[in-house]
Amino acid sequence: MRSVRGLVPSLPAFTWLCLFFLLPGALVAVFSLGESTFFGTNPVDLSALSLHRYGEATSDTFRIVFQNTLQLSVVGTALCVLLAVPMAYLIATRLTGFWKYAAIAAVVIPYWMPFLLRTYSWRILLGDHGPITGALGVDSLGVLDTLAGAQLGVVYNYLPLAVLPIAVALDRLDPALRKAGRDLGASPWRVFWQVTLPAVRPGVISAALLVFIPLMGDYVTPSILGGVKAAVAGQLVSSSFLESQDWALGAATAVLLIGLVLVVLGCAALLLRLVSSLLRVVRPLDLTARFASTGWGHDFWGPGLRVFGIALTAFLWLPILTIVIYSFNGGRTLPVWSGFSTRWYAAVPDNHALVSSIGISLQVALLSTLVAVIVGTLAGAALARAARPLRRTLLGLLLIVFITPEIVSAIGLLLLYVAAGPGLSNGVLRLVIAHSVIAVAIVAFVVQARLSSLDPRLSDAAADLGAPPHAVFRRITVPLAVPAVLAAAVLASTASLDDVVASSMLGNVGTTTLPVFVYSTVRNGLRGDAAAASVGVMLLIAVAVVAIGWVLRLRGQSKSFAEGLVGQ
Amino acid sequence: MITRRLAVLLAAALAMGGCTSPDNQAEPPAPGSYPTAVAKGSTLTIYSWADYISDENLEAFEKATGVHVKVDAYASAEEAVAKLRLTQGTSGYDLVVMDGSYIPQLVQSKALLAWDKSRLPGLSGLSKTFTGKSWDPTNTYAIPKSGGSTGYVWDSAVVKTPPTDWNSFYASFADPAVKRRTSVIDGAPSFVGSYFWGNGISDQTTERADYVTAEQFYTANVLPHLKEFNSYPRADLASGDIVLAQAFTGDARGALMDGAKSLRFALGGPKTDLYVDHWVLPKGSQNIAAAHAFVQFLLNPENAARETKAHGYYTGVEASKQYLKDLPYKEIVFFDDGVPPDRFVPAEVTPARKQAVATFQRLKAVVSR
Repeated sequence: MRSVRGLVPSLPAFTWLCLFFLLPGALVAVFSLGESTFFGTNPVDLSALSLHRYGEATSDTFRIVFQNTLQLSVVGTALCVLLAVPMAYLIATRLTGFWKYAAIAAVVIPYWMPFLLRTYSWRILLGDHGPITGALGVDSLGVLDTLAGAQLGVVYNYLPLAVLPIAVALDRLDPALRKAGRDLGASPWRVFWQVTLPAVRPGVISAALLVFIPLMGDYVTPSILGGVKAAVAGQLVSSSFLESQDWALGAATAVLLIGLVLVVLGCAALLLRLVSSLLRVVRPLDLTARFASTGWGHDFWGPGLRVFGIALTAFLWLPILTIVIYSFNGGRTLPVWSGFSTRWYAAVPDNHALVSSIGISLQVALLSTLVAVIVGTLAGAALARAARPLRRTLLGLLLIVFITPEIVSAIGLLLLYVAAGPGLSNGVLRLVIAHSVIAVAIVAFVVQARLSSLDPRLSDAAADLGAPPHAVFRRITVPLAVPAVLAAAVLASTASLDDVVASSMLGNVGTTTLPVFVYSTVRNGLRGDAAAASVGVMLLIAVAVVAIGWVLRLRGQSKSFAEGLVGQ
Repeated sequence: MITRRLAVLLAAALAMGGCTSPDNQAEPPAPGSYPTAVAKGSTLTIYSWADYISDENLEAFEKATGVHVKVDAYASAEEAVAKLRLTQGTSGYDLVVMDGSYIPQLVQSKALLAWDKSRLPGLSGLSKTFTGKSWDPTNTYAIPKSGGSTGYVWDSAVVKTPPTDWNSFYASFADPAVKRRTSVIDGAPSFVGSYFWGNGISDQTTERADYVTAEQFYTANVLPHLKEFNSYPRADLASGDIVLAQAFTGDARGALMDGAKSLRFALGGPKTDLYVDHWVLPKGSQNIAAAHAFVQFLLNPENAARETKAHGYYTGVEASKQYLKDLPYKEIVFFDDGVPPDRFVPAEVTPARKQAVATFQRLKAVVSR
């Protein structure tokens, strides 16, 4: 009876990802066996297959940049999770009403500002002639163009990917449970260990995956803020495909990178198991019991958490406010202040290419998020509930989707689109498909984080009471998943609004997106109109989301949009 | 449906694996057979860098011809190359801006159409600096749009001895006054190439030994004093965070306009590169008549001057200079004025690119540890 449990919800994801990721991706992977040709119609000659490119790819250069990338990613992931846990804990358990919504908004809204601008903003802030050195009266902060700069940039750019999954996982933690624990005489430490930690665990694992994997591929953040210290693996892959147009070598390097990231993830999973069994033997609770009653009232945590929340919010908003301020810079070069002016805001409507790019970006973000939410939620449910072999296969597929460097999936998809001909010639459709592939993985991981922290007996009970599987899904799983789905939708939309590589490669006539446009203007000097338009877009999305929440609330369909987000 | 798609994909894979697909065998139409009437109400789709065509010119052209112009932006020329190479006439663009160095590849992969030069009388007004270059000696496929060269920017208040060639530029990196406030272009052809330009070696060399000496030179003299790889150091130069940088002419001019009055620029020597963006007609262009009309429109000296004012690059239209007498830092814009033509090495893409990129990546890896 249960032999194919979870097959139906996982089918859309399997179909979508096989068609639009696995097939085209495999095609590019095959290139790694050939030899690149500069001239002629075929970028790669596959007439004599060999493994030579792998020999070439495993160079000293690769070894060094892989080490750099791993170090940056491990430290970045650890910092993101460490910063995210208290913030998520604050949002999920301490804040109520307006403040809860405000805290969520504070974490989310900055990420609707295009990636390039919010990263570049740190250059303005931390520069030797920036506002901070001026205020502190020092020559240099020594952060920009160092490893610390790159590290700061990646933590900044990936933080919401850590906060939201942890918040939605933590949120199923009934406050009554913790209170009961305390009432029964357990120390705060014991309550944390036995009640809070098990609840936060799936969220932390999802968060770590969602941060670590894209970090292993990101090369733009380090290159903007890390200076010469920022040689990373993603850059090596991209430069093979683009700068040297050596697709065979690029494909081999990408396959190597994917394999190594999978190995690292495998090792991390093993380590996690090892630590768990070790903890069972060492029983840290009994050790800490001696220190348990040092007399710290739990009031210490409340204000402490709030101060932390305010500090983190300031960290998230500092670069955004900087861009907002500099969008009023009257000068020709955005980062060089030359006096207050609203001229760039006035100039936006005249820049037709820029205006059109905003419309395209919003359209693609909305549609790809929609697709991802449907396919990804089902996949997330399957990840949490399906039979083991199915779950593992799906997890493997989603991980590979997420690990694969974007340039590889983009080139693969382009081959597919060309082969498909007029059927896939609509530019918006092409971008929606491309963006949804990554977004499906994001949504699935976030939804899974919540569902696997819920009691599986709930759906089993419904099934035992005679509910057919689709009814169990609709009436039990979906309502429980709603907060995670909303959080995932937010993350999926930011991923779409940040995308440059696939959008530039796959769009066609009339489908230049805002990030591609902004990226492209760097060549002639980043101007105020791009910043002004980006500030506008960020505010527009924020207002739209609040408005949707308001309407839903008025119609009484959901108690509140934001309540849905945190699942009260 | 999946099996059908699979079959299509497999066919695509085979096509890429050496068997020529039938599309490529069809002879492209002769330029004389192109439609000549510019249709009012038609659309001209252009693929270019963002903010790289004057808005004023776009509007004037639309007004004059009744053609609606739609401009899309790419994030890098290489992405556009990959797209034109793969889409084989289905890219949907009528007119594309393409870096000269990639023209031979696109021509050989049959991704471009020849221009009907009889419809571009303005061609005769183009400077020899831009026309007849190695990438398309007869300008059959590529019509120069705008171009520049590479040199160095320094803050004369900090760097007391002005660099006179690439070697003296790199020698200044060790100047204690500079204190690592340095940057070089984040690209193999510009950075690795500048060693070759400075030392009388062809930048398309395939001799391994040449790359080894370049690597040793940079490892010893430049990397220890280098702060960033930055293709567009304009803002960092203008803010004063960087005081010595390798820079493209357009970016250098921006830095001098926005930055301290003590910033200086000089062209690289004894040799440096020449890069020229071109107008190309991609295979499958649907509005060939309007594409010709638009390019001829921009070859008009007055319109060409408007282009230079908008993006800061010389269009090669010599008569446009009379409209640009008050242009700030025009000696950087007209970088070829009074410079012997053999100082410029046209940027090329040949199999040597692979060695240059490998060397560049190795240098980046070494300096990161």
